[in-house]
Amino acid sequence: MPIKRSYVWWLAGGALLLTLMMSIRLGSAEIRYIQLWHSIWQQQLDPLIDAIVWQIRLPRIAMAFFAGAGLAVCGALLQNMSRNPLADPYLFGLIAGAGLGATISTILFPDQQLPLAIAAFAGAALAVMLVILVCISHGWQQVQVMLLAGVAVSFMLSAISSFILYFADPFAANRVIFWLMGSLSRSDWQGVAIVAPAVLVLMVLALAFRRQLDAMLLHDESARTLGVPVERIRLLFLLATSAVTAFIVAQCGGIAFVGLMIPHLVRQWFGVTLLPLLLGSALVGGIFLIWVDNLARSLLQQQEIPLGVITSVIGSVFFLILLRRQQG
Amino acid sequence: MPSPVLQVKDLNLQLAQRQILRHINFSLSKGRMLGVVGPNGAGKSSLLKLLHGELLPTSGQIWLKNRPLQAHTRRELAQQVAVVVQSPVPVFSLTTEQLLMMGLVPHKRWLDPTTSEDRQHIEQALLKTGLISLRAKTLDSLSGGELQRAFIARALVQNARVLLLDEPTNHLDVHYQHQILNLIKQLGLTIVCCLHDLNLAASYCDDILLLNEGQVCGLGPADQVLQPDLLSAVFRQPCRLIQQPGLTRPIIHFYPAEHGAMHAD
Repeated sequence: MPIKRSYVWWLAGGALLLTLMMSIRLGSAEIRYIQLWHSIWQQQLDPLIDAIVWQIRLPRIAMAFFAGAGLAVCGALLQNMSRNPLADPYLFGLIAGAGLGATISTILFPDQQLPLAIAAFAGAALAVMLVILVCISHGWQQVQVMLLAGVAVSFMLSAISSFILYFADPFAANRVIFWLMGSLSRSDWQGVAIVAPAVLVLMVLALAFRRQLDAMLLHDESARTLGVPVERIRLLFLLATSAVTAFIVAQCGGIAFVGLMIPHLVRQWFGVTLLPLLLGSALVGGIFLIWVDNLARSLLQQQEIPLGVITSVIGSVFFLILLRRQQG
Repeated sequence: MPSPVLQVKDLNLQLAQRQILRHINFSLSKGRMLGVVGPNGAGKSSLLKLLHGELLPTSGQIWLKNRPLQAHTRRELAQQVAVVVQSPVPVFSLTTEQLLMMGLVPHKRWLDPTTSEDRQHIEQALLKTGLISLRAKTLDSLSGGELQRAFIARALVQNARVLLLDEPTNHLDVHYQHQILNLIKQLGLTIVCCLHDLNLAASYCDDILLLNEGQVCGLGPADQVLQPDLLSAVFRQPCRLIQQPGLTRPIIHFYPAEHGAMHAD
């Protein structure tokens, strides 16, 4: 229960504060805390610093936080409702769909950012529609159908993307591949204004259904005997998590492992039921992605490393450690 | 005569061209415990599923108090009927208390918080089922009997008037079998319980419903329904009643066919 482990919440809150303070100073321009203080509370003392803080660093940090929080929350929800600790947005074909959208858009409208985001969103939506169609035609009987449908759609859409890219010019292929690896370098307040409300709405929705979602942790029939409309809730949250992931992917590209790894940690630190899991995932996921982005922009000089590369490295090491622990 | 809590009228169930249940009729008044017995595939579990709306009957009606079961929403039904089914241990390690919290689901809407009254209710259920010291334990660390009691406690939190149980004594040793049935009996709820063990059914249930191939072969008090000739025919195994001085009811004994044939009188 969250009450017993209240110190974990204080720790996480403190970590967030520290993260924000450290991240906002990180970058090629040296800014002192006193300058930051003036820029945030009084503004217009130094237009250059104001611009760096308000137009470049803050939106990027905000985007990192909400994207990380959103991916972790989506992962947690998908795992709980499918009772599968390995479920995450990747498994449902979202990233493959977004990739296909990005591929098509890159070929039709090269060098334009907005169509790419829209096409990525449309592609992710298409993937989910296909998954849901397969599920509906099988009567929503089993969780396994949902997972298998996701994997199948994922492979199919990736194959189409690869086929198109094979015949496209190499620059288009490069662009799509870099985009799919994930980056926050294009973050602005407009993007945050799309992602942040989407994540918050999903969280409120999940909190409203928290008892029903918890009741589904055992067994579908057991949940139905408690009056839970299992199929409808699963459909609702499949749609909602897909929409949020699609918004995030359209803005930041593919960022792997966050939705898989963060809820896993949060279950051990905060708890398995929805309320602590959801709030914990949002906090830890947000902090995690801010630090990943900090690494991405400071590890190499003059060049950023794609986020997906860093999260994948951390994720694979994390799961290897997990495997060792379970054996030992 | 008060109106029965549960009434089943000419119930038929057909699944995939197979007749699972035919012409089932019974009624159960408040506080009675009905034991449903019969061989494998007789339709016991299907009958239970019909009673909590998991399956829909092909024809016939089920009445809860004065209202047909189909007229209830799923949520209303969950407020009336609690079910203890065989459930796998969850993937994510829930605690006993978190399992009991699920019992609140049919009584809560949207953002309704868990009140101190709810917590007392859960406390009571933990006390009644003797689980108070195991409240923070995870379900995978409970024994079979404890797990079964935890599910019964969840049904108590659900605060329903009818309790349905599917083989609650399965996989339990003799001590736990009696403990569970004693516990159920003390709750004062209207109960339908599928059982394999006929002697347990005879000792604890007020009435017995004997099913065979989807049909009712006997309905009434145990000593009327559980007759050796009928049981031999239904279970396809020779059967006799053993009277013992000091026992309130005879023991139902199935014996090996050849060996028994020599001794049967």
